[in-house]
Amino acid sequence: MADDLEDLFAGLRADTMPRIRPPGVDRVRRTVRRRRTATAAFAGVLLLALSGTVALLGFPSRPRVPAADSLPQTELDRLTGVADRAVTAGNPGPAVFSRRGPVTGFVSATEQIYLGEIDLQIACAGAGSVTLLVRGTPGSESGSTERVEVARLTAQCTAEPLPAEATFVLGRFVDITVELVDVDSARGRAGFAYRATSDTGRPAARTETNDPGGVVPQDLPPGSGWGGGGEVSGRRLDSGWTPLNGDFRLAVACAGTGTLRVTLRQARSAADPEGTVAATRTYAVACQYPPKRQDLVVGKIRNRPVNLTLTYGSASPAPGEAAFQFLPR
Amino acid sequence: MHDDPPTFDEVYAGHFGDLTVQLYAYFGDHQEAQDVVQEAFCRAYGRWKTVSRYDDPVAWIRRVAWNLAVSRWRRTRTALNFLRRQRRDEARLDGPGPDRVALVAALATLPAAQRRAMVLRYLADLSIAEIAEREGVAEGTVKSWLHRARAALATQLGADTMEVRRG
Repeated sequence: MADDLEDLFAGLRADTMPRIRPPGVDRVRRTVRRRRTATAAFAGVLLLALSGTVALLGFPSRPRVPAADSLPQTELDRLTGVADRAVTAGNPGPAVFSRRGPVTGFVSATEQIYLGEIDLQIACAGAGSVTLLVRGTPGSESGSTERVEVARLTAQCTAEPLPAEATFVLGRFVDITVELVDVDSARGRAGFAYRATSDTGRPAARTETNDPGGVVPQDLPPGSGWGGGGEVSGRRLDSGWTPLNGDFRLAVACAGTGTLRVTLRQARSAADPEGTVAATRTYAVACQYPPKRQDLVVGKIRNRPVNLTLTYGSASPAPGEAAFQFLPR
Repeated sequence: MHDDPPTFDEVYAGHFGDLTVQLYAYFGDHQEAQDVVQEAFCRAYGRWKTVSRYDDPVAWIRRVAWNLAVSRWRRTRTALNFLRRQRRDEARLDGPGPDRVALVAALATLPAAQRRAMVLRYLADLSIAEIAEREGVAEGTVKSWLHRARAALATQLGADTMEVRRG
C-alpha cells in the first residue's frame, strides 16, 4: 500500500498543479501596498476629523457662494437651522458624524466607520429635494476597491421638514463617503442637515490592529493545537470535534462591544470522538476595540476529541469578531 | 542563516503550487487552499527581510498558510465551517479524476494529526524527524500516526475502488 500511496499522492500533485492559477507576485505587492495605505488612511481620517472640528468652530474651509437666484443668506441660514433642529429632534444622541448648511451644490465627506447600529437622518428645509448617498470602501479582503452603496436617502425640502432615516451597520468597510447629490432642485432654495448616531458611539477603523486574527499568534510554537475564528453574532460558532493532546492554554481575542462565551467540551476518549462529554468548561471573554489577546488556562488534554463553541452577546446588533488558538502552556 | 537569501519572487514561483496542493489535500477545498497560500505569501512579503533570512523561509510560509487555513479571518466563511465543510464537499469537486477525489475524500476522514502527517510526509516530503519537530511530538508518535493513517486509507480506498467497479 505504501507504494500505491506514493503513486496516489504523486498523481494528486500532478493532477492538481495544472489547475492552480497563482494570482502572482504583483497581486501580492498590490495587496500589501493597499493594506499599508489603509493603515495610513486611518491617520488621514483622524486629520480630516480634526479639520472638521476646526470648521465647526468657525473656520470654514471655503466661502459659501449662493447661486444668483438663491434666497438671501440669512434665509438660507434660517432654513439650515430648521433642518438641523428636525434631525436633532428625531435623533438626539451624540453625533458620530454630521453636517449642515445651505444647499449650494454637491457635498462629499469621508467619515470613519463606527461600531454598532448607525442611525442616519437627513432633513431639508425650503424647496426642492436632496439625496444623501452613503457608500462604503471595502477592505482588502474583498479583493475590490469599488465602493458599495450602504444607504440612499431622499429628503423633500419643506417648511416643516420630516427627516428621512436609515439604519445600517458599517463593520465590513474601511471608511465611508457621505455625499449630498441630486441637489439641483434645492440649490439656493433650501438648507440641509444630516447627522448619524451609533448605539455604541465607538469608532472602528479597519486596520490590522483591529483584526483579532492578527492578535493571536500566527507562527506557532511546537506543541500548539488547532485554532479558528470568525464573525460572532447571536449564532453560535462550533468547531466540531477535533483531537488535542498536550498541556494547553487558549489564546483568545475578540473585537466587539459585548462578551464572548467560550465553551470547551472534552469527549471521554479518542475512541469516542463524538460521544459522551467528559468535561465542560466555559470562559467569558470581554470583547474590546482594538482586540487584545487573553490567555485562558486549559490544562492537560490527553489525546481527546475537543469541541469548542463561541457565543457572542452584546447590547449592539453589530456582530463581533473573534479568533482563538490552542498554545502549549 | 542564509548568506544570500532567496528573493520573494523566486520563492513564490517555486513553491506556490506545491503549498497549494498540500493545503488542498489537507482541507479538501482547492480555491480555499489557493486563497490561504496567497495570503500567507502576502504576510511573508510584508516582512520579507526577516523571513528570507530564516533557514527555511518556505517552512515559515507553510506554517502561516496552515494556521491561516484553520484560523483564517473571514467574515462570510469561518474556518470552523471550513473544517466541517471539507468532510462533505469533496464529491462536488469539478474536474478531477476519480482517484484524486477518492484520495482527498479518504484523507478527510482521518483525524487531523494523521491527515497532517500524511500530507507533510507525502506532499511536503518532510522526514519523520521534521514532522515530529513541527508537531512537537516524538518521532514514534509520527510513525504511529502514519501507520494508522496508511491502514485507514488502505481500507477507505479499497472500499471506494470496489464501489467504482460495481458502478
